[in-house]
Amino acid sequence: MSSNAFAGHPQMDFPKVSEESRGVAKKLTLYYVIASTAIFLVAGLLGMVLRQSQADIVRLDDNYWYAIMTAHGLGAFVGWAAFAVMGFGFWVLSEVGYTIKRPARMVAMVAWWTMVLGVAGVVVTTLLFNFAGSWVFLYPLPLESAGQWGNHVTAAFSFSVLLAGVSIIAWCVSIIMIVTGPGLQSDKSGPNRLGAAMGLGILAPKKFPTARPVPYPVIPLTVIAIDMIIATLPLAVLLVEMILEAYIDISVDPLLAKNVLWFFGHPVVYLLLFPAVSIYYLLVPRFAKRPLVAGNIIAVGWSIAVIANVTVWAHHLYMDYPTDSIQAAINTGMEPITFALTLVSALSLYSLMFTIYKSRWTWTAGSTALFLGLVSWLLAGLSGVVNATIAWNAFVHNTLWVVGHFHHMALLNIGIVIFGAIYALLPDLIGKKLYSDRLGMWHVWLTFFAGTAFSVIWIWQGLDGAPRRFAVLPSQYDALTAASIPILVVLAASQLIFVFNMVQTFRGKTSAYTQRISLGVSRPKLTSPALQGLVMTLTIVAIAGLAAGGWAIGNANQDKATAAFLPPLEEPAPGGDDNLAAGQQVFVATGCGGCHILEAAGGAGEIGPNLDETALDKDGIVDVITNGKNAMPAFADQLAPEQIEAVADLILDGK
Amino acid sequence: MNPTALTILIAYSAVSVLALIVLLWVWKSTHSFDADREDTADTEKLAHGEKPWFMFAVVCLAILGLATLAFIPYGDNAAAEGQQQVSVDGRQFAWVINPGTIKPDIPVRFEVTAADVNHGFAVYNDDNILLFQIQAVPKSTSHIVYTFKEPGRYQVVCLEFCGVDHHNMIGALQVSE
Repeated sequence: MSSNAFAGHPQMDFPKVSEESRGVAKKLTLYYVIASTAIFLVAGLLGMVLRQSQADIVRLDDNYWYAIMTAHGLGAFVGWAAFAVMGFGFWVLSEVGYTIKRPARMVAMVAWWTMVLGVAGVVVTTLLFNFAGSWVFLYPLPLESAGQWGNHVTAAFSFSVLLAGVSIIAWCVSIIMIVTGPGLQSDKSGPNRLGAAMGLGILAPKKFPTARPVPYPVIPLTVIAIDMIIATLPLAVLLVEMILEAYIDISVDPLLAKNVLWFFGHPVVYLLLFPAVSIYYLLVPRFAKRPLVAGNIIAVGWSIAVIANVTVWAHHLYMDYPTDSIQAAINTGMEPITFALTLVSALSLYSLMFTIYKSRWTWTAGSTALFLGLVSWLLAGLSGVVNATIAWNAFVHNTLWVVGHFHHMALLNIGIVIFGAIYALLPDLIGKKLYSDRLGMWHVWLTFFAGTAFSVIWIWQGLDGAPRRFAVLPSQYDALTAASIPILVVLAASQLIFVFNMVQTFRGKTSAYTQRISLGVSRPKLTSPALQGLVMTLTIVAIAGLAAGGWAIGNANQDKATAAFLPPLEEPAPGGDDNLAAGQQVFVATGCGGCHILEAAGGAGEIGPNLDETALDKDGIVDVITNGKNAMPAFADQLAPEQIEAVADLILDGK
Repeated sequence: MNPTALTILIAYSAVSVLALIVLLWVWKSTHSFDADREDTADTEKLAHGEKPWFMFAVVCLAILGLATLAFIPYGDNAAAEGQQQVSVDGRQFAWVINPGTIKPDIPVRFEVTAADVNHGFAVYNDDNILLFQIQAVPKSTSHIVYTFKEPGRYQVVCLEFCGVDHHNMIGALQVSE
């Protein structure tokens, strides 16, 4: 596909690998892309179920909501997005002249099988066995389930995640084997080859000599392959510990475990981004018909990345700063490193944007998706800078802002790049024409607009203080949650367009329109900026209208009197019982309603006994509150005897 | 909305609008009715622009980092004379807060820990505006100082997922003279 004008250009005209090796790359990529797309459809459906439950359309059982959240998170993030771009990595390397030899191929298949089995294990342990520790399974929560699932399930879940971790490590090994293989054209050995594949030869050509310059798409893949091995190994140890702790009496310091989790949890985000960048480095020059606009500084950027990527994890722990630990110092130190890491994105965005700028860019479904992915990369990157700033993070941490940020990133940057890569590369991979480029266009534009609007609602709710990971959001957030539902329908419908297009493509069909183009009938002038601008504006207006409609319905249904986390304080009725009002106040303030049902005070928790049906008498109730019982803490230090009595009176009054 | 959140909203919206204008300009630059036009852009020159852009990004981030440095909540949580002391113990799924009633205008030093799993100790006022938050970590103790100005009821919300009844783990603080 390289244009003649650039024949022999080291970043446009790559040596061809053998047909056999090309076949290996095709097969590997298709395995990864087909499996990950199937996971995408399931994980997407689970995500829809979560949001509609928050909007109170079909309300799920609380623990099941959290179980689905666990499956959705790991499924969509690792099983779809990471898995898909990992697969495209093989095709990218093959396209720039790297042969995949037998050992690398076998390791890549180990990675495929362990990922598929790991994701299947996660789905089974969550959806069938109620594991609901969230997809970050923050230690020790998986082992403290409040009676919702057993330790066998925790062990099985941890083992499943461990399989996914093994998959990631195996993929990294396979990539390192390929990038340091003969495609590199270096006569050095060992670590020097790895340095060369990382692009160090651009900065120091004498120290890292190669017969041809390293193709840009190789660099991000090499960087992430190195980092993910470093980042995944400690998590694997923690997962083994969790499996053992399910059966024997051992434990880890929770703060250390949190650091280990995020030591993996940050780089895994870049397991999505960096391979996506290598897809960009391959495809953007093709569509722009000119080489990537990049100077030597690109190598500086990636050298920063390889180190910074594994030294920024604590920006997920900004709100953890126990007094006698060094966590506050680590957090403060990692803020500027995180900023440094955003420079890599800033440089890549510059390169890619100016490669497109004023080029003879071909607008197809694939290239449009790549462009829209850049838009989201920039916008989601900017919301990431907010998260990275400690003083700002304090007001968005663990709110829906974060959920908005990473869906903006994972779905609308990485996800759209995956769709773009599918539209651009699938015809080569399966030797069949795309059924309809025009349907592809509708899919990517609708996904972009609806997905962006969907993320913006979360961002807005988060700034308004809405907590993330709440199966049931308090009613002050109802109107905006309702606004997201019609947008969700558009988002889902546009994925059906994608599925239809794929099914037809695999069946070897081509739309009448595609046939006309292949017969040489010129494409009508439907791509003028004015017409496209009009369609875009109408789409934005339609989506905004749908959101406004949803908001209006949600707002009308909202009960303003209960729009708070806590139930409203009721004034004692005239002539009523002051003691009962006091009891209600104590019950609410002490958070008894978190575990107990008590209608008289708005208690809705289902962990402890239902107090509307208690069999205890007043002395019994006072005794349990004062001294505690089983999981129930003692409140003797916190509440005065008359307060405890008032609560007991309230409980008995409601019977 | 919390004033810092409002600042974020304004800053993020403004920068996003600027970014979108640049992106629209790039998008528009590729459209031409002349399908066979030559690519006349000087890509070498464009590549040289990378260095000033790099410096620009460094300067912007440095300004952001320095401007917000003073507001990092880590520094001012040491014990001092005259503070009110409140212990906070998060547990599935309740807050044990002692004492639960405090005085306005006198700094309150919260000593925060967790009995079982990680919890997030967040305080909202009765108008649902987030005032501050800190993680409650098992086996560790953290401190945060806050001064309540207005008497009234404050809502304590768990902001770290802690299990099936996480969303019901709500408590209250009473601020009164």
